[in-house]
Amino acid sequence: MDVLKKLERDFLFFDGAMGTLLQEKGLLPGELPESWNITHSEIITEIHKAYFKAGANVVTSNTFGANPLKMDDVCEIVAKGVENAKKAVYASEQYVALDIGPTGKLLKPLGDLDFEDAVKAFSVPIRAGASAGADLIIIETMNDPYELKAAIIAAKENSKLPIFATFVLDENGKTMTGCDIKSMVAMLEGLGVSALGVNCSLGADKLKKFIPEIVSFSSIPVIVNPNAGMPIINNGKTHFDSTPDIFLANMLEIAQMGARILGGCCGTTPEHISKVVSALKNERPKKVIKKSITAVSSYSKCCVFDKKAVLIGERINPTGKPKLKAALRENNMDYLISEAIGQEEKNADMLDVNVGLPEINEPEFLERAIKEIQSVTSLPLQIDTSDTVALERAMRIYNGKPLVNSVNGKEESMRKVFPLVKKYGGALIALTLDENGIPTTAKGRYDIAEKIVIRAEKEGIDRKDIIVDPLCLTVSSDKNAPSVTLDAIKLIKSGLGVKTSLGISNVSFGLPKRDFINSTFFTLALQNGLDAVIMNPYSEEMMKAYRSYNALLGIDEVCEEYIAFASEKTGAEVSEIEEKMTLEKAILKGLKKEARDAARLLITNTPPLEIVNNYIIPALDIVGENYEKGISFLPQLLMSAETANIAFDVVKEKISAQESNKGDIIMATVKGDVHDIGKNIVKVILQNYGYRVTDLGKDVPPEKILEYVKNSGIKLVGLSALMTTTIPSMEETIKLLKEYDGDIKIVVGGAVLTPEYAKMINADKYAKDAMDTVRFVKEYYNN
Amino acid sequence: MNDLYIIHANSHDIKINTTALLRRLKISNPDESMQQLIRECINTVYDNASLRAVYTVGNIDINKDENIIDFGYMRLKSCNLRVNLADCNKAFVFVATLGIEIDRIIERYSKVLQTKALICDTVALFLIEAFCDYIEALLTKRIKSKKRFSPGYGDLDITCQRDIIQNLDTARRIGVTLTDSCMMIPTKSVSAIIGVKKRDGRTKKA
Repeated sequence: MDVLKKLERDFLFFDGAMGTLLQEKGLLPGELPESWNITHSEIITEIHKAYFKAGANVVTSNTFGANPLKMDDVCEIVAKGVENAKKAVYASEQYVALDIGPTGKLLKPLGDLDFEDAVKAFSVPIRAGASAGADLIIIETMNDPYELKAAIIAAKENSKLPIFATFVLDENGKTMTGCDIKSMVAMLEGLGVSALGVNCSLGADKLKKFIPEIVSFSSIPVIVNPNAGMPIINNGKTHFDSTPDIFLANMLEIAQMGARILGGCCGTTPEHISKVVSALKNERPKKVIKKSITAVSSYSKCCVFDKKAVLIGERINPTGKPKLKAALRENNMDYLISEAIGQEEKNADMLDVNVGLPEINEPEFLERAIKEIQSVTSLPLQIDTSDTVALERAMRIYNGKPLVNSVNGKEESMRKVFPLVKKYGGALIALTLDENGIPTTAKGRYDIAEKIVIRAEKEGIDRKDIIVDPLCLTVSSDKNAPSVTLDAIKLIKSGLGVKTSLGISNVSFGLPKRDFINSTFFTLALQNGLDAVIMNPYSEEMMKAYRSYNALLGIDEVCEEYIAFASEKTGAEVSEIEEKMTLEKAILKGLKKEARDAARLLITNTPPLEIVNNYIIPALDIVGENYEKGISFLPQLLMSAETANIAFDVVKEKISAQESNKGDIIMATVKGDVHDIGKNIVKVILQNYGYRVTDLGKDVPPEKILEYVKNSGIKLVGLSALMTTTIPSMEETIKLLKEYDGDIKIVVGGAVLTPEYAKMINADKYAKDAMDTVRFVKEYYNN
Repeated sequence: MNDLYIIHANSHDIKINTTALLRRLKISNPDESMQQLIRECINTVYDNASLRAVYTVGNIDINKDENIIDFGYMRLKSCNLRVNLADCNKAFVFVATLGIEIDRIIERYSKVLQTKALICDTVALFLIEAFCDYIEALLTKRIKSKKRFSPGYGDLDITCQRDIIQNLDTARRIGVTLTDSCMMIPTKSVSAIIGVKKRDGRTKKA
């Protein structure tokens, strides 16, 4: 009987610790436990056998750390590890799990390990273990959902074995990277693992309080492999504070809560496992209940589609937004980032990301946009593209379980999109249109929704992951259009039991004051059961409708959110009557709202460039001068810079980007350096002075900088490095750029650099701070 | 390998010197809005920091001629560290961190609100130093010890962090990893060695 069949019927018992037992057998300090697979294979087999004798059904191979990022000879060590475990099998219903632990590195953007490199690294032991005959793969002790996703993709691409996945929780019920239980479960289920759960870190006593949440959210079997309590030291020897009996008592409670796969981690022994097996061998596990919870997630936030409608911010979409189009064409991520953060601050629950423009390379750009947006916001994202190549790349590197926008009833659409959702996990917006267009009746739209749901289920995608968008057409061209949509929402929800979503704003196309129509239609749709809306979070009318609706229907209990929203509005009205202030004064003092107001007033009667040259730049010069003289300091300089940028934004609405650009510079933090606060500070000051900065980010390889220089023709480059260990990559970058074109000028800065050092590595200029860089760039462009 | 011990602390129990903070930020006589901004940044860092440390303690052997300090599980080469540990026969090695959320916050602010990024970054530096002081005080209560010594000081090369990170199992215990260029992630993390002097070399059990 294979392991999944066994799991359908019974409890499945895992083994306990390996490392603890190896130390008892003489593993030396600093010696890699996995090396014993080759040097002491009989001892390893003996330990596995002891666990089988204790009643475990599954033993985990001694391959936790076997990863090419940590050691050599991975293939041999893993193959031997699996063989040693297989040798211990002596009866039926005994299985060998290939053990995959974390790489020990943190993935980008916060760390330096690339997602695809992580997938490659995990692929090595997975291929070796699968061909050595493992029965399943257990990916365990994971802290970072992104690393876990990389490991699961590697497992899916390199074997057909069942995948079990466990993560580590701290006392607050989160992983050390800040991921909560729901986000983790949503992602793992989406990726299609066979079982999920927790291991290590805490003893069964402390871990048990989190089990009900996992069981109540998960539709698949739950694994619990805790430590044997907390470590205590006695006469220099480590023991764990749970005796096998205490461990047993807690594990029985955990089984009662619905966990189906039970075993141990650090400090547990065959005795611990034997107690649990003996106590439960005649018991039946609780049934695994399938939940109809619709959820998407990021690396730390889970968005559940429940009573309260989900607000999906629509602002990252170039349709009708010339500024965003320009930003996309210029490869400028700053605009996307500010839209992402702005919508989050306006209380969007999720963000739609659409970067489709005919002239850009969408797959490449969408991947980059998703990565950049996920580096500044934890809101789950809706990946919005009709390009399936772009969709696959984005879904693959997305950190969490995304919402995909969209599939429709056309055969081609379903054929392309479903397999991607099956492989990478995700929920899907399903549009009720097909080869014959959009049906004009609610029943017609229902029929398409039904076709999509049935087909999805055939492909192994649960209907809870389908969110139907019954589409709304313009009321000004068809007076019945809104009613058809509202009827379709009701019909689809009651008939198919799926969630619904709408892009509201289409309804008011061609009418004045569109928000009035949109917000009322939104209320009607909510009343008919709408679960999510794609909307503009900046629209006050929409937010008023949403907050009021939630308060009136008791969704916003005790009207807390409504009151917070309404008081915020009152606050804004009061501050509008504050005293007016000149633009210069506002910049000097770093007062953003005042600066915006002053700039708006000025722009009504002053040419835009005059505002820049006669108001903004002089104010900045005073701030810069004060900074250089030591009268004001970096925080003040930055406050003024941020304020000046706001004034700039007002001015830029009236002039083209070309007119306001005084010159271009490419900036990057060099390869190996993942710290870029310094570079970002220099960037904002340069932008203040009217220079256009192309920011290539951090940890940027020399070749990538060269490639950008080649493509853009820009000959001024700023490089930053923070650590002595990354100066060589700065040197390499300079060498590469100078070899390509001796005219390229390079300005460098960063904590460990000195003027002498800069000269040595052939930089044209060492800038001690942001103002120093501005001076150099001014000289270069002679302006 | 020696035993590993974990320390957790609540950030609100660890005080930073705000006068020194203002001095480091070079702010004198901050006006009300700057004061409020600094308060906000302090709160943000304190509320999002997750203070954890892992340490081990054990005997050390010092080879004076070759400037090698042998910890049993690792050997470090450094003249300055050898001098620092001259009259010691034991040493604590610890790694402490504020957790990854602080990196996320600074990263986010550095893209949109650079002033906040700068102030949060400085507050976080003060907090991790204060946390290290707290750990040092905790570990060396009632024993004679040397001031902590970190990779990067003097001739102790930061590449030795590879040994420290691996032996203290920091990725698993407290979520601290190393980049290829030997930078610790979360970036607000510190590794350090504290020598225990010979004559009063009794260590307190953790």
